[in-house]
Amino acid sequence: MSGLSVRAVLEDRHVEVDFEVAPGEVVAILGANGAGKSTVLHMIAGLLRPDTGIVSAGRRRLTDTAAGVQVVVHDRHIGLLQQDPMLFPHLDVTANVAFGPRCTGRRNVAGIAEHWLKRVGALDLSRRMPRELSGGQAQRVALARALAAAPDVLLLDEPLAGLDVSAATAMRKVLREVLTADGRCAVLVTHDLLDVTALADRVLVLDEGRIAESGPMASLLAAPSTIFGARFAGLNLMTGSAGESRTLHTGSGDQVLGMTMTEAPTTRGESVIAVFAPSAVRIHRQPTVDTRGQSTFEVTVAELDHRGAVIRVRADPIEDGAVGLAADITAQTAAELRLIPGERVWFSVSADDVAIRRVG
Amino acid sequence: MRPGLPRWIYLPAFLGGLFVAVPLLAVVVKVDWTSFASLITSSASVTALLLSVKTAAVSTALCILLGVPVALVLGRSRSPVVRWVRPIFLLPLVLPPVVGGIALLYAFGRLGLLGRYLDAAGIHIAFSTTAVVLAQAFVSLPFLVIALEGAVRSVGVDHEAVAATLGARPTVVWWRVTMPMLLPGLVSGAVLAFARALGEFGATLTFAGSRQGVTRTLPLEIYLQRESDADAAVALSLLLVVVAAIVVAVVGSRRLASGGLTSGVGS
Repeated sequence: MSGLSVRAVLEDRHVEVDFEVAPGEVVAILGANGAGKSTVLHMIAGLLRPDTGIVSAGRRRLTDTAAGVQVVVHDRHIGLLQQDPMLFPHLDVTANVAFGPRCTGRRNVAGIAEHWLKRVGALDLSRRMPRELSGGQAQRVALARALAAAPDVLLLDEPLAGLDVSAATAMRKVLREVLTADGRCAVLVTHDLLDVTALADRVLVLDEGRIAESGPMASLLAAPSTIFGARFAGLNLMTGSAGESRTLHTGSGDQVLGMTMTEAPTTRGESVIAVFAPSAVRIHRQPTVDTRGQSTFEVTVAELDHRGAVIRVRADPIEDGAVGLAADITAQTAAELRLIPGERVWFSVSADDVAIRRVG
Repeated sequence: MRPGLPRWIYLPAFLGGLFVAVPLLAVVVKVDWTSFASLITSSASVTALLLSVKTAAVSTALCILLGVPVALVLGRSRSPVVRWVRPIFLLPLVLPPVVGGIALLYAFGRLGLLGRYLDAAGIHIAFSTTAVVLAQAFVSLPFLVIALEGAVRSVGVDHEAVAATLGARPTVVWWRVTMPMLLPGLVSGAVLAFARALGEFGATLTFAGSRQGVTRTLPLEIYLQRESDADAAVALSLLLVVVAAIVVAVVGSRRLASGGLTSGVGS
């Protein structure tokens, strides 16, 4: 039983994080590419050394820059499972899984390998060479190999990203069964909503090297406070400052009307966000005449994408650095509007569908 | 019709092929097949052949012993010093072997840089079988290093990082992960080094001389026989052609064709 505590700064990657993972807990790190997710994992594993900070697993202090402590990778007991299974090509499946226990001089190496192969449902593959395995099988063996080394903490760096849908589904099931079975904790880096909902107890959203948002998955999905969190949850998010009752003024002069969900009403001028679902957005060819209780934004259509019976219309960003707003419309509406990327249109959303909240 | 090479280019290509094939064919044609067996089994030939095989084997072992660490350091280290030192290992590749022999003589010879101390200690290297081994190792080391360095770069460090997270200390990682993964590259490099050592002439003659049974390897024997017994020289030449052909068949098809050697040189 051991938790994980990380407080680390790495200047040249612009990463500065501070978080803890309880024993038996799985924390997912989300974030755009280049947000520093893998850097965080590598600092925990000891593959990168933070400029300043402390990393501890349970009572063991693995990195403490102030005290000059940097436990070497092979003594840290931190397992790492990456997108590429990285099986040793010259060893068969059993020897791969037995690699960790053998290196650390444990007894009954064959028994340990068999146990973990059974746990991940790959016992029938034990005599095969890595080149004879499918992607999903190889990743299962890699998981068994990581767990057989008895790590205190398991780090997963997009472990399902390279798998097709059915293999990923099977692997997700295996992960849920074994990840924290012995009270170990795990940190999962992913891009996939399904991974998070199936495996994670808590999420951290990393933005430009810093933790922008943290909390249970359900609350992130319900009320994201970062652009990334919103996009991950499939919601629109606009930032700005609070105006008169329940309004948000964006930097570009747009005004958003909405409902305030926070306990206390927002005060004029403070930083607020407006969150609304793409399905609440209507698209118009002309500016709407009746704007009572409606917020309207003039946008440029960036792309159209169909998901089932719904057409997702994504607009160009209207604020600095923000992702474009999205609108979900029916195929019939899309056919009537005949939208083409590059056209100017008006998005409108009813105040009843917009939540305006304080940031943080 | 698919767009391809201009047709005329096949003519010079064909001439190039002939340029290599005709001399080899000439050796085969010239061989006196009736006395072939007796020529290559004469006592001088067998002595030279055995000496060649033995010294080439020992020098290949020496190349592996020294070349593996060199290739690993060249392939992995990011130190600028290593980058500057790298060309030194390639120098013997382009150096005339006779110059290599002279260099060795002034390093290990009786009055050489190191040789004078070795000499004082009662160790005489020049013009001994040891000198043959050193001359061969000197010229063939770059072959092994280049072949292996290419493999080191392409294998990468990711498996090693994973092995470390599984609890393997660096020496264990090196022995159980790095070396097995480099094995194909090492085999290619060793076969190339062996072939180069087997054919070594200039550096050997300069640094080791031509003493029968001591330093007179097969190439030296061929050169000597050419004066007195041309038939024997041709028969022994064919022997070396066959050995070279085997090497190319074993290594060339896999390594040279895939650009393993050239990519190593180019990078």
